[in-house]
Amino acid sequence: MNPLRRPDVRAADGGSLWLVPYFVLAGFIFLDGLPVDYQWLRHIELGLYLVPIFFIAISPSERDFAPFAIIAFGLLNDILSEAPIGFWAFLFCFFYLLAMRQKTVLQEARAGSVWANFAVVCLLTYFAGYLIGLMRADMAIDFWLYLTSALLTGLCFPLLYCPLGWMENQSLSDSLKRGDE
Amino acid sequence: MAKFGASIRETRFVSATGIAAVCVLIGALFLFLLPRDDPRVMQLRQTAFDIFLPAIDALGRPFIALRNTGTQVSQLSGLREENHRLLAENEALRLKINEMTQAQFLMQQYRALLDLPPEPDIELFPVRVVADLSSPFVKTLVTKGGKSAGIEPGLAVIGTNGLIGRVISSGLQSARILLLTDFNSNIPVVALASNVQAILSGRNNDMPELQFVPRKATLKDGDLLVTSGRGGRIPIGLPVGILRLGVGEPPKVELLDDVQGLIHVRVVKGVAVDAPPDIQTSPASRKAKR
Repeated sequence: MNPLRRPDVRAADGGSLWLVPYFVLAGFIFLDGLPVDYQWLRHIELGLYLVPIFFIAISPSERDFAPFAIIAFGLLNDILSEAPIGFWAFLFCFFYLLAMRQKTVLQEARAGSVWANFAVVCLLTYFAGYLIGLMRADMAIDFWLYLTSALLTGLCFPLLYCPLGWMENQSLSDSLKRGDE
Repeated sequence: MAKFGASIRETRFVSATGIAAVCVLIGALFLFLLPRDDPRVMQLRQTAFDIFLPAIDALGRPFIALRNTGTQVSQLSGLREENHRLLAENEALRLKINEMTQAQFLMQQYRALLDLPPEPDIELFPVRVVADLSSPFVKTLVTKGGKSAGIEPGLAVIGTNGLIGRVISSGLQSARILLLTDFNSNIPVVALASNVQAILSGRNNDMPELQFVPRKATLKDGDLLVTSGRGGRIPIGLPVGILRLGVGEPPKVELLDDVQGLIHVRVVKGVAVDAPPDIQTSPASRKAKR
C-alpha cells in the first residue's frame, strides 16, 4: 500500500488516531527551540511542522475545527518562538489554505506528485514569510537561507509523511475489517 | 464542504476554504496590529514559558542526552592530546593566579589610598538552558529557574568565557535571556587597551557592532572589551569579546563565548555589601568628614 496515497474514506471511525498529526505538530513546536550545536543548522529555519499541517489539510476526513486548531498552534508557535504575534499563525493558515485546495487533485495522485505539491506549497509559504520580513523592521531574513530552509523542509517530507500515512491507512483498514465482520 | 451545526439537513454557511481564509485574515490582523514589544505580549510569552516549560524540558531531554553522548564519543579519540593541552593550560593558569594575587593586593592598596567604597561581591547562579530561540526575529534563551531561583530582569548572564546577555523577563519557573547578538541588545562596554567607552549593539548575526564610539577615539584591532558597568545593573569588568576592525564598516566584536548551542549558563548577581563604618561613600559625607 502506498503510504502517500490517501484512501477516499471518511476517517470518523478511525478512533482517536486522527489526533496524532496535531500531537506531532505540538511536538515540533515544543522542540523548535532545542539547543543545537551544529553550525550548519543554526541559521536554518526548518519548518517540519508544515508536514502534519499538510497531512491535516489533505485529510479525506474533513473537520471544521481544523483551521481554528491550526491558527491556535500558529499563535502558540509565535509565543514560544518569540516571533511577532500572528507571523506563524498567518503562515500556518496560509499553508493550510493552499494545501487544502489541492485535496481533490491529491486523492489519486502518485507519491512523487504529493511530494512535489508539498514542496511547491512549502516554497510559497516561505516566500510569504520572506515578504512579511521585508515589511517589518524587527525581522532580518536572509533570502537564500530561507530558500535553503524551504528546500530542506521539502526533502524531509517523506520521512514524516510516510509514517503518518501508514498509520492512517492501518487504522482505516482495521475499521473497515471490523465493519465487514 | 464544511458545515456548521449538526442537523439532519446539511446547512452550509461557510465552506472549509472560507473558514481557512478567515483564519488567514485573523493571522494577518494579529501580525500587523499587535506591536511586538507590547508589555502584555511580553507577559504572555513569559506565562506561556512557565506553563509549557515542563513539556519543552521533557521533550528536549532525550535529544540533549543524545547530543552529550555524541560529544563524549567524538572526544574519546582525542583524549590524550586533550590531556596534554589541559596540563599545559593548568601550568599557565597557576602562573596567572600568582600574578592575580599580586594584582589583587595592589588593588586593595590603591582602593584604600583612594578611599573608594567596596565593590559589591558577585554571586553566580548556574541555570540550565531549555530552549534556544535563535531565529530571524530574535536571539534569546529560555532557562529553567526564574524568580523562585532569585533570577530577576536586568541581571547579566555569562557563559564559559564571558558575557552572553542579560535577563529580560522572569516568571516563577523560567527566565528569558536576551543574547548580545539580538537587535535589541545594547550593552555599555569599554575597550581595555585604548580605554574607549562605547555601546555594544546586536545585529542579529554572530558579531555585534560597536556604536557611539567617540569621534577622536583610536581603537585597536584585537583589543579586549569588558563591561563598563554604566547603567548599574551589569557589573563592571565582565569580559565580552575581541574587537575586530574592518575597512569601511563599523567596528565588530567577536564574542568570547559562542552564544548558540549553550546548555548551561550562569546568572550574575551583584550582592550589595555594607560600607565599613570608617568609609563614607557620598561626596557630601566626605566633605563633612574633612
